[in-house]
Amino acid sequence: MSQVPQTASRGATEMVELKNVTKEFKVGKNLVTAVNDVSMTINRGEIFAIIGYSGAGKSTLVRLINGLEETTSGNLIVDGFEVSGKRESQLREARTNIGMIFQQFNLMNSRTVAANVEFPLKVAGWDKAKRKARVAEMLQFVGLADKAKNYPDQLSGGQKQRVGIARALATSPTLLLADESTSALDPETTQEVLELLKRVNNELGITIVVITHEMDVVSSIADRVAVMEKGRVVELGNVYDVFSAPQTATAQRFVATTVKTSPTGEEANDLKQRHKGYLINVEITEGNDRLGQVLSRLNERRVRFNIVQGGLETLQGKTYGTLTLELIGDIINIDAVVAELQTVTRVQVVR
Amino acid sequence: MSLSDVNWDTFIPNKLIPALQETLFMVSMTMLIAGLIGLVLGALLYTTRQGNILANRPINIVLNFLVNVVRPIPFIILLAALGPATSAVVGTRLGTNAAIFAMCVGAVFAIARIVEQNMVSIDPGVVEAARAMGASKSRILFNVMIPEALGPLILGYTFLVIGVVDMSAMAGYIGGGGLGKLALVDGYQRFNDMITWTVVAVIIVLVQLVQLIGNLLARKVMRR
Repeated sequence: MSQVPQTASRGATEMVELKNVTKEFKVGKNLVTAVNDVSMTINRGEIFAIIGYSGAGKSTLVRLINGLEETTSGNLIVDGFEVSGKRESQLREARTNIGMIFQQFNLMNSRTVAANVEFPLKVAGWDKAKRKARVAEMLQFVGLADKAKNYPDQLSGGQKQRVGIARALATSPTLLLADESTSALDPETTQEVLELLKRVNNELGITIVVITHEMDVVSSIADRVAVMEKGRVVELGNVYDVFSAPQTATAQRFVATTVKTSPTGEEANDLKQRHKGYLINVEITEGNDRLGQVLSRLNERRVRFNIVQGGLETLQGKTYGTLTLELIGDIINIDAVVAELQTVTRVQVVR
Repeated sequence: MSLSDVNWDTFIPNKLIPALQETLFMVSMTMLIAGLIGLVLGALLYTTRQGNILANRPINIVLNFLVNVVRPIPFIILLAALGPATSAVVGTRLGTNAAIFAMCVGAVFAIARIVEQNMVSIDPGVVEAARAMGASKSRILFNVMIPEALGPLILGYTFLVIGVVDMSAMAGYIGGGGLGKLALVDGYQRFNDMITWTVVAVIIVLVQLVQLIGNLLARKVMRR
């Protein structure tokens, strides 16, 4: 995954620090807490994902980072600059150091691709010759040099997002905020854009904060992940750690969108109809070879097994997932097998 | 010689062409002055809305009130009611310049409303993106909002030109000159329907031309 870059690594390892950050909105007469007492640190050079369902507060949270929304309370520091408590006019300079891309791309339809990429450079006060050179360089980087004179409405969704990325990175920011940047794209284009974001992280050393509701986005590019629910961060850690052993129902549901997890309800009933043996669910984790050893000796205990369902996934180069096994034999022998399996991995009886 | 007889050889060069020129002058001066002031007022109406870049409730309320008070007044009544103000500003209540003043007052609020309504179509996401880049409020207004709304704005202004041509005809009543006066004085008051209908035909052609140019410009800007 991403290395700590040589070029952008200046100062502390923290890129974004949130301390007890809260954001409240007034909706009519009601006070809605969109972000509720969030404290966390996003490290320099990493790809940090924030995943949650719509309404979880993740889009608000990312807008607090570049001050598009004002924090109600708490402290928010980006690259050594305190964003919280600042007025719009005091944030302008800091914002040229923070790029942002959007779900709907938000390109200016009245300007060409090149002029869209040039716009932030004008805002930052670059002179014309430098602007032209930088625009060409950025369009080259995202592979759209031949589209410079086209207008956004002549481009596909994936191309528009690449223009968005070129525009966001034109001023050489140290931080890129990606707000649902692939949610409007088809799966293939999504992969293209994610590859590009990985390159941005690897080659340019830019820290990226990715907001998403898609588990695939997290598993393909993120180093660490925060799971948000009702304005709070409910889980945070390395992507592998969080998703190989999800603690909250929300995280478990996200994992279930990519791998088959322990069957419950209808699914469990259906399995039991078809398989009359004793059904258990065993957890697979990276580097656990003892499970295989136990299974290979089941004969000795006069128990047979079938694999009836399951799902495995590789995250950050490590495998995780679950298998549902049907055990066939005397109940006493099966109990002994389950007891032995429990010494090597997590076992759940399918009910 | 019946009442409807027209001597075209003298009518066209001596009456119709000068009247057309006067109308064009009044309409273009009004569109220039009221167009600019209306653009500013309309942009303020839009940007002072709640949640927009210059959000300011008192200013927004006052502007809305002004627009809503002036716009429903029939122009012919506004012409008369503005009399004292016109003579204070222009020095006279009669003539082309007096008519232009009254037309500007009448048009500016309509333009403001049309500008505001066309700016509503601006994608708020584009404005958010500009804010995220650190763009100042004036840059967002002039370099993002107005260019993004330019196509609809051109169509809105085209619509208004036609309304202002209509106003200029009524200005004939206060001696404003132009096609309106020609139709009224030489046509209607002398029972010469031929002149009235000739002037109507010229106005129709004028309006068609304005609409055609407006459509072409808007299409060029929107590239559709």
